[in-house]
Amino acid sequence: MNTEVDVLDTNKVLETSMEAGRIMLENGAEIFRVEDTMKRISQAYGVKEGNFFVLSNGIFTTGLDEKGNKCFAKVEQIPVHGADLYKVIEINQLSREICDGKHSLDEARERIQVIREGKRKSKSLQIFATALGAGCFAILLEGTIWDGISAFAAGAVLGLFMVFVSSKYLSKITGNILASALVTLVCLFFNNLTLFPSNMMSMIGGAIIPLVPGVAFVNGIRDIGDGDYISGTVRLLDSMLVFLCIAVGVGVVLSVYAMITGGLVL
Amino acid sequence: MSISVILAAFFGTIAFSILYDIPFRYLTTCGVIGALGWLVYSILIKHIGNSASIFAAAVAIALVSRYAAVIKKAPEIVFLISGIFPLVPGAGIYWTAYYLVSSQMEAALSSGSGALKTCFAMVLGIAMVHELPQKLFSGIKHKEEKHGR
Repeated sequence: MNTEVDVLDTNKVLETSMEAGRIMLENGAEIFRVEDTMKRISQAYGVKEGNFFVLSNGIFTTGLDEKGNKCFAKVEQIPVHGADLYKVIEINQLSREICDGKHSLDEARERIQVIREGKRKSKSLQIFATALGAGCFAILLEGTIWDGISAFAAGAVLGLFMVFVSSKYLSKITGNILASALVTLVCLFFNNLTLFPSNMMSMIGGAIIPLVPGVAFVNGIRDIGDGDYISGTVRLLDSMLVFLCIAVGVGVVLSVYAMITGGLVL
Repeated sequence: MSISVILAAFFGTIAFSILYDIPFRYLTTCGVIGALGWLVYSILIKHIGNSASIFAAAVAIALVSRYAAVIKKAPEIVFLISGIFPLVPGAGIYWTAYYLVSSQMEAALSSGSGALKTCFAMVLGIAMVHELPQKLFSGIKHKEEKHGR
């Protein structure tokens, strides 16, 4: 009878650690951190023999009970997702607390559920951050203050589009192409106003920065550095696709504009 | 290099930290790390080449991020991702793709190889700091705590 309880417990522990790993992976943690966290959580609850294999879009787990019999095996497919580092931080914190023995298994499961359903920052703040980021990066890319202000405006339009249109209705590819085309149109508008001398290169370069998949890119690099080549390559490929989409969006608008006016802008 | 550029790096980093949903209590740290990285990069680029200054900036960012991770008790990646964001050759890779799309092959090659070098310098910088033992960083913290008390 006793062994049956153990098996159930092992299953529950491994399910819990898998759920934690899933949230981390979905929201932009590195592969080795996901594996490490899952291992720590399962060991803290007394499962010595848990094996975890994590890829950028899947988690494979097997577990043995105390007699060494296989009792748990699960594969979970995890789609490539956005980046919500808040959830990574929270799960990381939770796993530290679990290692210190502060939570029972059921408490931990509840906490994970709460973290999973956590809300992102408000939409207006996201739009403002998009605009601010675009403006600041236009200045970093050797633009003037005026380029920064135009990029800020273009970023605001981009933020509105991302929050209300592309994140809800469009796929990654169409969303990025349309968003970058829209940004280019706004930049062209400011360029043609000629209120002040403007630099299209910094303006567009800054304004499209919010579309750049920074987390996927840096994580891809880090994963490759850690020796997780498959996941690293997938993440880099994912970000390359986005770069290509952005370039297509900007390129189409600029070449149509050049055809109409008969002069290259860049 | 003017103060406005450093401020732009500071607020730009904070803006992206908000987009990545980093909690408010870490935002200032992220901004400072981003600005610091850009400062190192823009001072060094006048004296040594682009790749070397990216490398130095990446090392500085990764060191400070590990330190901040111990102090603030958060995963290092929170500070690393946001801090290194200004150095990511986002614009460089994007221009490469743009030149490819508009069939300006020479320009694509030159900006593409530049972006690749930058990436590689970043990887080296981050990976080298990652090799350092954790003791080094927790050690600093213990000293500070004693000092503080």
